[in-house]
Amino acid sequence: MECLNCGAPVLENGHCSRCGMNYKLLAKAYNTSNHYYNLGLDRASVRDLTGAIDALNLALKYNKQNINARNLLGLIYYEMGETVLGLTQWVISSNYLPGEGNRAVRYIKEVQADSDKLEEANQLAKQFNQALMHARQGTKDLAFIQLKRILANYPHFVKGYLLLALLYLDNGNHDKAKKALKRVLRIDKNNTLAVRYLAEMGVTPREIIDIKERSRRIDVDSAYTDEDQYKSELETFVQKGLDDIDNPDLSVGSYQEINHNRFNLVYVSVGLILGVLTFWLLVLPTKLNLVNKEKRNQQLAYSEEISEKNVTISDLENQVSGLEKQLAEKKAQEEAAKQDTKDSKEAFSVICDHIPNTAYDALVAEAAKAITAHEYAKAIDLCNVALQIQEGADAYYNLGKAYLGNHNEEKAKTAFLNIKDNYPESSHMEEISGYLEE
Amino acid sequence: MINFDEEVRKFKPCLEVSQAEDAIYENDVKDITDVLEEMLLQLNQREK
Repeated sequence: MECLNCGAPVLENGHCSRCGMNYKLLAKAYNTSNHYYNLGLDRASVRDLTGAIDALNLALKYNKQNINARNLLGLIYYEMGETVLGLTQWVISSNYLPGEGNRAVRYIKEVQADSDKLEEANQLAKQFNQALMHARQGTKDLAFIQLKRILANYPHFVKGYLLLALLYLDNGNHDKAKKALKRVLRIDKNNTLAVRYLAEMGVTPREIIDIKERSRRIDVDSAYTDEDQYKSELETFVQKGLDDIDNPDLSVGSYQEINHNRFNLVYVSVGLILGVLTFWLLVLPTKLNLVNKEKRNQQLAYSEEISEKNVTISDLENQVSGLEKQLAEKKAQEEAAKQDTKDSKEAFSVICDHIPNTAYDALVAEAAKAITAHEYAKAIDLCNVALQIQEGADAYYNLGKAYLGNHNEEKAKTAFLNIKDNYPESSHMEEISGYLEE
Repeated sequence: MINFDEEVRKFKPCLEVSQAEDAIYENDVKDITDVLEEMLLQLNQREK
C-alpha cells in the first residue's frame, strides 16, 4: 500500500515508512472528506448553496487537497456573485493539481479570457463594499442607490440582496424586503440569513416554504428592480379579490398632485382651436367685407372707364364713317372732274382736228415778223404757243432761228433736229442741214 | 427583533481582484493531515 499523504510504502504496523502517518486514519479522513463533498454536491444540485458551502468547507477540512470539493466550492461562490472568492478556490485547486485534468484550470482560463468580466467582478466588489460602508455609516439612502444599481447589473449577487433586505427591514418596508429575500431563496434555497430575516419579519415556517416554492418562478437572470414581482394570473386575480374584500369601495382615492405637464398638449391644442375660431368668426368676416368693398369700388371704376372708352370709340367710329363718306364723295368728285377733263380734251382735239387752225399760222407769221424785228424772246414765246396748238415744221424753224438770234445754240439745234427727224421733206431742210453740218 | 447595526457588522466586504493574491496565501486551512503531521512532530520532539 502507498501512503495517501506522500506516496511512500506503508509499513505493516499501518504507518507510512516516510512521513509516519497512520494509513487508516488518513483513509478515514479522506473518506469523510469525500462524503462531505457528495453531500455538498447533492445540496448544490437542489440549490441549497449555503448548505453546500458548509459541507464543502468540511470536506476541505478533512482533506484540503480534495480537488472536486474545492472546484465546486469555487463554482458556488461564482454563482452567488463572488467571483474573486471563486477564483481564489480555483487557483488553490490548480496549484494542488496543475494540468488540464483539473476543471479549475479551465474555469480560470474562461474568466481570464474575458477581461471585461473580471473588471466587472472587481467593480461589483468595490461597489458592494462602498454600499456596505454607507450602510454602516448611516447614509442608507446612498447604500440603497448603490445596491439597486449593483443588483440591476448582477442579479445573482446574494450578498447584495441580503444587505438590501436588511436596509428595507430597517426602513420598515417589509414587502420590498420580502421581495429581495425571495430572490435570495431562488438562488440559494436555504440561505440561513434570508430565512432568519423572514422569520424576524413574522413569516411563519409554512409561509417560508411557500415563498421558497413560489420563488422558483422568478427568473434570476433578469435584472432586479423593486417593481418586477412575478405573480401568476391566478395569484393576481385572487390578490385583487382579497384587496376588494378588505377595502369594499370605501376608498375615495388617494390624494395626488395633478401632473400639469401631462395636460400641456391639451392646453396648447385648445388654445390653437380657440384662436382659429376667433379668427374665423371675428377677424375673417371684417377682412372679407373690406376686400369685397374694395373689389366693388374697383369694378365701378373700371365700368366707368369702360363706358367712357366706349363713348370715345363710338365717336371715333362716327368720325371714321363721316370721313369715309367724305372720301367717297371726294373720289366721286375727282372721278367726275377726270371725266370732265377727258371730255374737254376730247372736245379740244375734235375742235383741233375739225376746225381749220388759223391761229397756228397767224402765230408763226407773227413770230417771223418778230425775228425780222430782232425780237427773239417774243418770237420764242409765240412759237411755243403755236407748238402747243399744233406741231409743225414752220413753228420749229422760227423757234430755232429765234434761239440762234438769242445766242442759244443748243435749243436752236434741238428745234432744228425736230424738223430733221419729224419733217424731213420740209422746205426748210436745205437751209437747216447746212447749219446742222456747221 | 433584528438589530440593524449588529447585522450590518456581520456582513463581510467582498474580495477585490487586487486582494485575491493575499487571500490565496492566507487560505491556510489545516486539514486532518496537517493536524496529524503536527501531532507526529510534537511526539517526535518529546521523544527526543
